[in-house]
Amino acid sequence: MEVRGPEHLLELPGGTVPSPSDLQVVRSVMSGLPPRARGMVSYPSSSEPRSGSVGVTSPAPSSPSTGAPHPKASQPAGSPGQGGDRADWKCPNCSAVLPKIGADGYVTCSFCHAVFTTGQPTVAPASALSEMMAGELALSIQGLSVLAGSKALVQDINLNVASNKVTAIIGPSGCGKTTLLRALNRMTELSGLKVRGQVLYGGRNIYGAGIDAVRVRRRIGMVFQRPTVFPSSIFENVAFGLRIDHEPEDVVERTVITSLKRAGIWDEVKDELDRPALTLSGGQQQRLCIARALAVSPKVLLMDEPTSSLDPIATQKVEDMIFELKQHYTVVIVTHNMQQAARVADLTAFLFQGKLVEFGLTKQIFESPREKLTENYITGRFG
Amino acid sequence: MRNQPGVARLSNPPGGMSLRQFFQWLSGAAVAMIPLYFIIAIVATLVYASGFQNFGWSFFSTNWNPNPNDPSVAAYGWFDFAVGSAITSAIALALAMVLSLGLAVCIVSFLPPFLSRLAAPVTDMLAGIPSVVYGIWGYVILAPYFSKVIDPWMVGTLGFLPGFNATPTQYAGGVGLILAIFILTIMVVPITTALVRDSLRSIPKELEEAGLALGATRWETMRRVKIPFIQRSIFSAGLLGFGRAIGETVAVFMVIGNEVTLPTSIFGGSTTMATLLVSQMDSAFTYPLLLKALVEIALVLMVISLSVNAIGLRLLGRKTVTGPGGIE
Amino acid sequence: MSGSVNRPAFAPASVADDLSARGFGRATRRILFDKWIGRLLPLLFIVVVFPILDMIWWIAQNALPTMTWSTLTTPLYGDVGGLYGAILGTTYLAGLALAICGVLGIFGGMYTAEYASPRTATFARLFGNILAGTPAIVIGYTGYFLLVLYTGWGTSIAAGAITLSVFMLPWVFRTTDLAFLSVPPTLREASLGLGATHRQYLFRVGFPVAFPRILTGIFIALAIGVGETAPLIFTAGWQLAPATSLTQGTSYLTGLIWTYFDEPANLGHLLALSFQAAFILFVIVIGLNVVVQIIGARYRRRLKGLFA
Ligand SMILES: Nc1ncnc2c1ncn2[C@@H]1O[C@H](COP(=O)(O)OP(=O)(O)OP(=O)(O)O)[C@@H](O)[C@H]1O
Ligand SMILES: [Mg+2]
Repeated sequence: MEVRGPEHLLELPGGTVPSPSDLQVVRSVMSGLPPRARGMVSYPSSSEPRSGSVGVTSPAPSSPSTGAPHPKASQPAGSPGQGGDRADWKCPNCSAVLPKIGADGYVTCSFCHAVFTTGQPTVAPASALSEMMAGELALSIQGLSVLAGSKALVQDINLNVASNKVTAIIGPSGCGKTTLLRALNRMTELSGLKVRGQVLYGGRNIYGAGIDAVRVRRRIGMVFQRPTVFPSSIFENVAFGLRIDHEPEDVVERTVITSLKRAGIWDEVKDELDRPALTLSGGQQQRLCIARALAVSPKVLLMDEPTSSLDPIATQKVEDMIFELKQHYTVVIVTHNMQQAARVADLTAFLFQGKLVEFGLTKQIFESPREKLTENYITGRFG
Repeated sequence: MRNQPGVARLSNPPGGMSLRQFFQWLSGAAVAMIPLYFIIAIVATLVYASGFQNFGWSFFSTNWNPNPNDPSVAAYGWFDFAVGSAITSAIALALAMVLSLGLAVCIVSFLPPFLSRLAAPVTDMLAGIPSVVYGIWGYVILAPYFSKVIDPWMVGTLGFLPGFNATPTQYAGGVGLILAIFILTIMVVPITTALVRDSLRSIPKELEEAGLALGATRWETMRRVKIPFIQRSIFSAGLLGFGRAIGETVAVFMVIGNEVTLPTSIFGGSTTMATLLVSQMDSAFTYPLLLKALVEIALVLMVISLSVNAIGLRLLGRKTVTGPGGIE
Repeated sequence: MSGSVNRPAFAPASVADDLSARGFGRATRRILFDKWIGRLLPLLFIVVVFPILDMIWWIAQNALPTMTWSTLTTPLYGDVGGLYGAILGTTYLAGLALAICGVLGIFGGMYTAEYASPRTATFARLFGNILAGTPAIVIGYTGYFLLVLYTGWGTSIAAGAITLSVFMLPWVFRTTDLAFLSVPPTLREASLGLGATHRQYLFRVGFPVAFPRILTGIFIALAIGVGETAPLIFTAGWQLAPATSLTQGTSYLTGLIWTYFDEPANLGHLLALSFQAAFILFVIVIGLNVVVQIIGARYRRRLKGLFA
């Protein structure tokens, strides 16, 4: 058994300069085949910690020479080398040392996914939760705050997003769900909001130095509350992301078809791909937007109340589709509709006044919430 | 929608005349149509002033010979001046559109917010500078500079192109088509920039965000989402700018050289329809036939600008055009 | 890798997942292209603003050294004297024209925004905008025939001012219309819902809220009136002595430049006067525009307050 310090999270995958054969892989990513079938290059976990090299502030001091040692062995909580009052948190479940980012509050252990409150080190071991989180992580949100001027819209969020699962974010209106979601692919900077903390994707902070938002958004796609089709044909809408990459025509065609199929709208539009997209119904437009987001082969799909402007039948279709999407993508969905969260999500996070109150299995959140706030919200006592 | 019938009913207090009735009384149809009355008055006056003089087909020719002594050979063909107008306006507009597209795109998408908030009013302000001010600057300051520096340099580098060759005597004064084009360009840029910029700003924000969320850069979102979205508005901005350029009189008059011929070179002096109306007026005071010809040319100019503006405004697809001071 | 604790790992990354902008590939090229566009486009401002700055520089250079207080207070006589007559003439012309187009434009705009049927309003706006695009010289011709010849007034301040007002009207009209349209509908519904008549709404609520913006329209029209030449050339006449009646012709600032800009060099004083007139015009017009921008910005802030 080997548990490593959090600097493991900061590891860079392999070499950074792609070789020609790697570019080949990029090409095949675009070909519209399921990502699993494409033999994606997976990098061996490097034993070389690259702390501080990618603009990510390494939270715990790491020993540069050897592989990251057991946190218990070399990194006792509150290591003196750090200076000042800065101490690290220690997970009560697995004893991993966690970077102390932000203020006290609810913390999710990056290693065993136990949720604990700092200062009260006795919180449920959450074995079913760790089971669910056992696979790979798509995103790791660490100490994330979003500020408008000096006002924090979202505060100190620590949350892991499991790969190939649907994670729902629920909470009362105005609690910052949209803001949090937009922070996950750097859309926040478009509305002039400041972001503190980290969002790790593939081990790298998407807000780190030298990381361009354009690349982030290619990997972490977004679907908005209201459908936003471009005033062009159905085909060209889906092809948008491929056209700006100057993909060859046959690749574009194949990818568009695969994306439309995955978005579950293929059967409805296959005979009229040249039709203006604006003539589609609202539900179709929304699925077209999802297809358009899928066409650039993202790993993570962020959805902000994707069904709130749709009728029940269209909603049903989108929900079915989200269920299918899990095979290939990681989905983070914001919803006001608790039934919807219960239906589609594997994991649920409850947000209240910009803070993460509780995170757990959807079933657990809805049936036996640990927090009073969550219970009040679920049972409809406010919000 | 603003003009609901239900609202109007509220304005009928028992007894006394409501403001609505007052307005109806005041105007018959509507005071709102005052601009229309003025347009009608302009056209009617000019038609009347022309005395319905028939100049025959030679009116639509390049034959301009306002011979006062022998009316039988007099001819009032205005095509030369139409060409002068077309050359100056079209080239100035083409340059202005390139500049203002770039400026508008820059203001909307590429400048940091505080600079963008500053740049918009500054370009608007340039639209307000009086044309005589441009004119005197062009005539007194620029013309010598053009004749000594710009014109010889352009003849040297572009002289092989048709229309770009000239002898030094042709551009000795510095005034001419090229200077008129330059001044017109500077005068039109603020107007077209404001129109394009407002159109770009009227695009729903969600559409832009959708483009960016797909991993497009600012430029790609601009080129592939926003510009196609306002194609029509851009075209209409061009038309409205053209209307301005073709009607501009004073500044062009001061720098174009006012030779009543079609120049062989872009560096030579020329006349546009609008400047003809001014430069020939002193003779026209004495020669009634020339006056009538000028009035009819003014009518032609009116019809051109009316149709260009009407088409442009229809295509713009917005209810109101914001002007200098462009608020919202 | 067994045991009670699962080791977290991020989803396997492909090369395409490398988020850094370094390296090769299309994305890098696209991002760089965008960066360079962002750097080069602002240079266009220099292309546009540089000539204007050059113009301001030269006009100030030619105007200021010989400008004294007496320039503003002595009338021109022959080729000696100052700008007094022209300033007075411009004041009369623009003031009178503003009075005319102010009344017509505010009523017209208010009617269009508040009373006219949607159809009428659409047409009213279209015609207003068409009138705004009508060549000034055509309006000048009309003024000459209608007001100078047919009425028998001769060239006079009255004829000039009325002609000028036609050119200024669309701006007042349009801004008044926009001003009433931009009154928050909630405010309107609230006051009407409280039982106010439409007239009470208009004068107690609508007009005060819209007023700053109507004022911007007035200032814009004034700037245009002060700076316009073409409608006046054939209507306002030309008289060097300061005008004493509306039936007289007058000199005016733009007309002064128009008249003397190509005077031979031996009448250098007149050229200097032209530059001084241009400088004064420039200051007035830019000043009015700055005021307009300031009012506009404050107005927007106030509206935001009304919405919040
Ligand atoms: N750009 C911004 N500047 C300032 N405040 C903002 C900004 N964007 C959002 N807010 C504020 O942040 C808070 C959270 O907004 P957000 O849209 O994230 O809420 P939400 O949970 O998505 O609400 P809803 O369920 O209604 O969609 C709100 O109070 C909102 O007013
Ligand atoms: Mg929201």
